[in-house]
Parts: sequence; C-alpha cells; structure tokens
Amino acid sequence: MTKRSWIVLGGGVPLAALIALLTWASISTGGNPGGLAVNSDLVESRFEAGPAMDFELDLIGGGTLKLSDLRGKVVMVDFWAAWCPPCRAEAPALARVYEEFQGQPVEFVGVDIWDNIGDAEIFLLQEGQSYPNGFDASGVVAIDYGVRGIPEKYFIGPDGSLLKKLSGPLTETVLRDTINELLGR
Amino acid sequence: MSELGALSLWIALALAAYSTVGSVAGKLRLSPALVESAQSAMYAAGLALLVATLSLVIAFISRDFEIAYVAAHSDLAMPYRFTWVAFYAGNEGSLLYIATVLSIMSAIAVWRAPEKFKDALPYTTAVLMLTLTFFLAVTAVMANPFDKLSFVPLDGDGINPLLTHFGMFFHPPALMAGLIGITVPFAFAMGSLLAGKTGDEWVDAGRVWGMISWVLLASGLLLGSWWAYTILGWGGFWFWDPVENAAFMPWLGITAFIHSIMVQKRRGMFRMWNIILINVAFGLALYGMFMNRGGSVPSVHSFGASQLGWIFLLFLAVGIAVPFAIFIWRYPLLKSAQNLDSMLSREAAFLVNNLLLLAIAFVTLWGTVYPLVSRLTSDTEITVARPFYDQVNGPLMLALIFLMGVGPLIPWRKAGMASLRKTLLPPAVGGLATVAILASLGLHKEFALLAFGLAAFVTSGILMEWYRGTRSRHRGSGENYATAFLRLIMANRPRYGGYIVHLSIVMVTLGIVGTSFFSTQRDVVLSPGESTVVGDYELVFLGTVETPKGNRTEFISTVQVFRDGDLLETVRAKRDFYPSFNMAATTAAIRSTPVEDLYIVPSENLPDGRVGFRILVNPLIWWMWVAGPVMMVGTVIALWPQKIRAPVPVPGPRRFASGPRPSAA
Repeated sequence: MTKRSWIVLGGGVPLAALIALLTWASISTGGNPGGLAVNSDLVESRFEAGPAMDFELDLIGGGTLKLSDLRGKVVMVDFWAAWCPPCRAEAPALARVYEEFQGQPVEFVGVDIWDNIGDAEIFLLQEGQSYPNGFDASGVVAIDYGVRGIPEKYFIGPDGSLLKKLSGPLTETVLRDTINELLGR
Repeated sequence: MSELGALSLWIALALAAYSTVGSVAGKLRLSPALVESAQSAMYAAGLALLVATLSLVIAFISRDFEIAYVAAHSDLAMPYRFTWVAFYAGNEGSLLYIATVLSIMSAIAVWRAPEKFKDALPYTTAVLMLTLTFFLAVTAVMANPFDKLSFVPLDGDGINPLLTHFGMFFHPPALMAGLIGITVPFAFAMGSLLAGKTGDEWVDAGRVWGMISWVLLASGLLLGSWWAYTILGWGGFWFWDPVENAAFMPWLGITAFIHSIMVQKRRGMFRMWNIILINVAFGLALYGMFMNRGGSVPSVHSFGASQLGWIFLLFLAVGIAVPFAIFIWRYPLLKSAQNLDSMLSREAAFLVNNLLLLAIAFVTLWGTVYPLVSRLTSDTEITVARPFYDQVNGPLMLALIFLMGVGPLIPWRKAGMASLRKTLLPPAVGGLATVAILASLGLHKEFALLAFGLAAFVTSGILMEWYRGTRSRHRGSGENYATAFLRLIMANRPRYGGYIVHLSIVMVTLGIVGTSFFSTQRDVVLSPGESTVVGDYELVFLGTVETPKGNRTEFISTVQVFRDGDLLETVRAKRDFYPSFNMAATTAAIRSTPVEDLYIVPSENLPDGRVGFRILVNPLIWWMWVAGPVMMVGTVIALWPQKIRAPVPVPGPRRFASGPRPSAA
C-alpha cells in the first residue's frame, strides 16, 4: 500500500467510526436527537458502591427537601422531564407503587431536569404524583449523579449509600421487585 | 422590527449563497468580475446581518414580546444591559450571533488577505461563505429569532438568572466566536489546497486568525471557569462536563496549530502537518458546536430540547469528510521545503508539543464518547468521571509544561549539546531549587511538587531570556534597563508576546495545582452570632438580611473573617431566590489573595434564620483569574503587526543571540 492509502485508512476509518457512533447515539435517543438523551430501554448500571451525594432541592409547590434527611429509608431518586415521552409513560406506575409502599420506610424523590418549570407543574398535576418533586434548574444534582439520559433512577439504601441505577422506563413489577430487594425481602 | 430583521436575515442568506457559488464559478471561468461581485456580496451579507442583529437588539429594548424569542428570554423587569446576554440566551439568537461574527471575521480576513494569496482567495471566500450559508439557512428556517407569536403577551418569561452574571457577558460570546473563528484559518488552508497552492502563502493569515480564535477560546474557557467558581457555588471551576470538553478540545487543537504554523512560517516545514492540524481543530470545533446544540451527551450546557442536533451532526460529518477528501486529493503536492535536521531542535520540540496536545484532545474525546461506546458493547453504560481525566491528562499536561520551558530555549535546526546545557542550566536550577525549598517546607505531594518545579523551570527560563536580552541591549546601545526591556519585547513581538502567554499558562497551572491538591472544604450550619474555624480563619456569622427585589428575594449574609484574632474583613455572601424559576442563584463571598481564596457560599437559608454555609480555602486560585488579562496582553503583543519585512531566514545551526533579532530587513 502507498503512504496515501495508509492515510486514507488511518484517518478515514476512525473518523467514519466516530460519525457512525454519534449517528447511532442520536438515533437511539428516540427521535430527540437534538437534545437530551431519552432512555427508552430499561438498562441496569453498575458502579462502585459509595455514599450517595447529598443534595437539597427546592420543591415544586413549595418547601425544600434534603436527601440526607431521608436516612433510614430506601430512596428512589428519579430524574425526569415533562417533555420526555417515557417519563410520562411510566408516571402512573410510579404513582401506584408509591401508594403501595406507604407506611414503609420507602421514599421517592422526583428531580425535574432540563425542563421548563411551568411544563413540569402541569405534568405533576396531570399525573397526580404525590411524592416530592423538585426542580434542578442549574443541573447540579444531575451532574453530581452523572445523569446521562432520562428517565433515570438512582436507588439509595437506608444507610445513605448509592446502590443501583436504572435507566429507561420501568414497569411496576421491576420497580416493586427492586424496592423489595433493597428492603431486604 | 421583526419584519426588518427577518428580511435582512433572508437577504444575508441569499447573498452568502451567491457569494459561495460566485467565487468558485468566477475562479473556474476565470472571470475576475464575477469573483469581485461575489466578494462584494460577502461584505453586503455582513451588513445585512448587522441590520438583523440591530433589529433583534431593538426588539429586546422596546420589549417587543410579540417576537417569540424576545418573550422567551426577557421580561419587563430585565435591565437593559442584559439585552446583550438575552440576545444569545437561546438557540435562535446564538445562531444569529455566530453568523454575524463569522460574516464580520470573513469580511476582515478576506479584505486583509495578503497579496500573495490572491490566487487562492476565491476558494477561501467560498469556504467561509458556505459555512455562513449553512448557519443562516438553519437560523432562517429552523430557529428564526424573528418568529412571531399569534398573540402579544403582557410580559416575557424573563432571563435565566444564572445568566445575569458579569462572566456571562463574555464567556458564551467569546467561546462561540472562538469556535466559529477557527473557520477562518481553516478556510485559508482549504483555499490553498483547492487552488493547488500548497506552499506557504496561507501561513500568515492562518497564524493570525488561528491566534485570534485561540485567545477567544482561551478567554472564554477561563471566564466560564470563573463564572462557575463565583456563582455556581460548587467551589470548583472545571468539571470535565461534556460541553466544557467540547470547547476545550478545539482549543487544544488550535494551540497545537499556532505553534506548528510557526515552523512553517520560519522554515517551510510541516506543510502537511499544519493542514492536518487545522482540519482537526475545525473538526473539533464542529463537534463542539454539535454538542452545544444538543449532542447525544446531555449536560448542563445543552440548549434544551431542539431538533437542531441532526442538522449539526450532518454538518459535522460533511465538515470532516469533505476536507479530508480534499486533503487526500492534494496529498502529493504537500511536500515540505526542508526536512527535520535533528530531534534536538525547536522544530522537534514543536512536534512533540503538538503530539502531546493532540493526545490530550483525544483522551478527552474518548472520555466524552466512551459512554456511547460502552452502551454499544454491553447493557450498562459506563460514564467517565473526573478521576479518568485527571489521571490521564494530568501527566500529559505536565509534560507539556516541561516542553513549554524547553521549546523556546532550544535553537532552530539543531542544538549543540554544549549550548543546550548552557541555556537550560539556569531554568533547571530554578526548578530544582523550588522543589527543594517546597519539600523542605513540608510539601510532600509528588505530583504537586513536580508541577511547581516545572512552573518554576518555565518561569526562570523566560526571566532568563528577558534578562539576557535586556542586558545585551543595555550594553549595546546604552539604553536604560526599562527602555531596553520594552524595546526588546517590541523588537520581536511574536516571540516575547508568546513568552507572556506562556507565563499566563504557568499562572493557570498554579491555580489548578493549588486547588486540586490543597483545597479545604467545610459545610456548616450557623445561627447568627455563631462562629466556626476553617483552616487559619475564624468566621463569625453576624446575620442575614432578607430583601424582596421584584423578581427575586435577596438574602445577604454577613460574615466577619478573623485570623489570629485580627479582623481581616467583613464579607457579604448573597443568595437570590427566584420564585418564578423556583431556583436560587448564589454569589459567593470571596476573599481573594495571591496566596489563597477564602470562599464562602450560603447554600441554604433556613426559616429560623440559620444559614448553611459551604466554606472553602482554595490556595493559589487567584493566579488563574489574573492569568486571563496577562494572556490577552501577550496575545495582543504577539499579534501586533510589525513592519513588513522579508521572512526571517533561519541562519546556520547556530543559536540566535538573545536580544535584537538579526533581521533581514
């Protein structure tokens, strides 16, 4: 091969691969290539267990919530936005499972990101979520948690350690099983 | 105003498209008249865009909420000075801003293009105008800032409070201008390739515009860090956020380019390499713009949900593939005038510097796309966080700083061992002495010691050069030292301006190392009257004053700072709560000294009057923010036009005497 063909190969292949990767990623974010990743498939992620980063949220509808105040409970932190179709799709499931676990040491915290606050308020009214939801306007919480797409859920144990991450929309069963597993049942 | 604005936007689009086609057609059909009219169309497009820009500004000032963009990004309470920020707060306005900047830069670049480049200039115009056509088409069709609402709202939504900070007046526009500015040197490179002029005709314009983009990107990055530091209340300034990386990578590419282009300017070498570098920088800039318009990696910087991602992805693909094809086509013509004489030469140092910069860029790129790759290969997505970048890029950056000390001291062509030893000995002694002193003072973090040592090495090298040059002028002409020093710098601006820029990089290094290795952080909740101790400081919280202010409630907490029982200062930290956004913006109280910053941010105001504070002591970060102005001064000196003279030929393998350059004039 000539030097020129080597350059074609050595430069062209990685560049084509990069473009292909970005194209694929744009397609796989479900018709929202322009924006923010929507997780449309359920994926479980692993990471090294460690303490969950504390945060404080201004709640939609008033008040504030501090993660560390929920010590002793299994906490599910859900990152969502009103414009995200899978978030809307799973909202009824989240509401039902939350009702089921009333009276047990379980808490849900919704974190609205990359969104307009007005849309989020309407979303919550429409879906009737009764658990606390806050607005992460500056994206600090999302960055702390390394959120890459929505919906994305982080599960935190009673001792405050970050245990699990589930990306993509959940079914009732998966959510129920996950919480039961973390409750040690 | 919206009609005038929209109309000028479409006129500019038509002119840019005509200019693109006209330049190429005129060149191919050898019609100077056509080429000239295409060039005039380019100037006219710039004027039309100025009119469009002015229309949008007037719409903001006259509170014309019928225009959707104005309603979405301002309100009646917004002070007029924030019009500048509101202008680029969303996709539509920022695209218009980018187009306007590109058209102005294009006009100046083509107008000032050197005579010897004239043959290839129509192609350069075409590349510039094709890019402008793209931006204008997207703006006009998909994100038109002059689109009207079907009704006229009484008030707008208001400006995002995070943007109402001094840093936001410069950070986004500087970065956007820097990213788009890379198009200019790129267009000169492409123009010379397309015309088959593969010599050194494009080098001067490429260097000047490369440096302009460089300083815009660098100041944009620094200002963004400063903004994050003072207002986000995280206490840090750099997060390896995908969009930060997207601006950082093209900066690395263009840094490599402005060094390497010097070699071509002086020695006619690295011709192919410079074309590759400017293409890489341009590709990375396109990647940065793609990420910013909503790439597939979300971040705090994304402009929000939009359909622009596809268009910018296409632009990225075309912007990489077509230049690559042109490069392959012209490859046989790209022969350097000379070969590398020795690995111990300034040319070789530049080459290694380039490779290191590219390595850092590709490590960063890899970290940015790795989550996507991991999703391909398994069900789990693995994100790459700060430790990865720190561990891999940290040593590469240190190596780069080492080269920054060596490169300027090593002669062109070939260094003799003896002369090298003579020039490198003083800075090496400076570096080692610093390490020894710091170690004896009890500093034992190896990486930090090494970094400080290298910083001292670079600094002593530069001071030595200045001293030697000044002394020889003083001796030769009897000028006093101050005059001799100023004249020394003015006599060879690219070189001495470059030294000043290098000093600013050393200052940035000090800030990074200081905060990465020696920062202390405490989170405390204090009642009025209570005190706490952080580092050497004792802090007494006096109380909070709450003031409703139109669109927000302002909480100002006053804290007294004592050290060794002496009151140093009384500082005020601010937390603004915006009910309509349900968000707070903090402004940290920062007591800044060259030694260390005391950084106090009220992270929460409790109903009972207690306040949660995050308090940090950040050593040496002061240097980082001072580096910005120093860097600009250095760049301006390096760019300041010098009397035209024949290119300085590089004499035999003998080191230049310091001081006045042997000029060919």
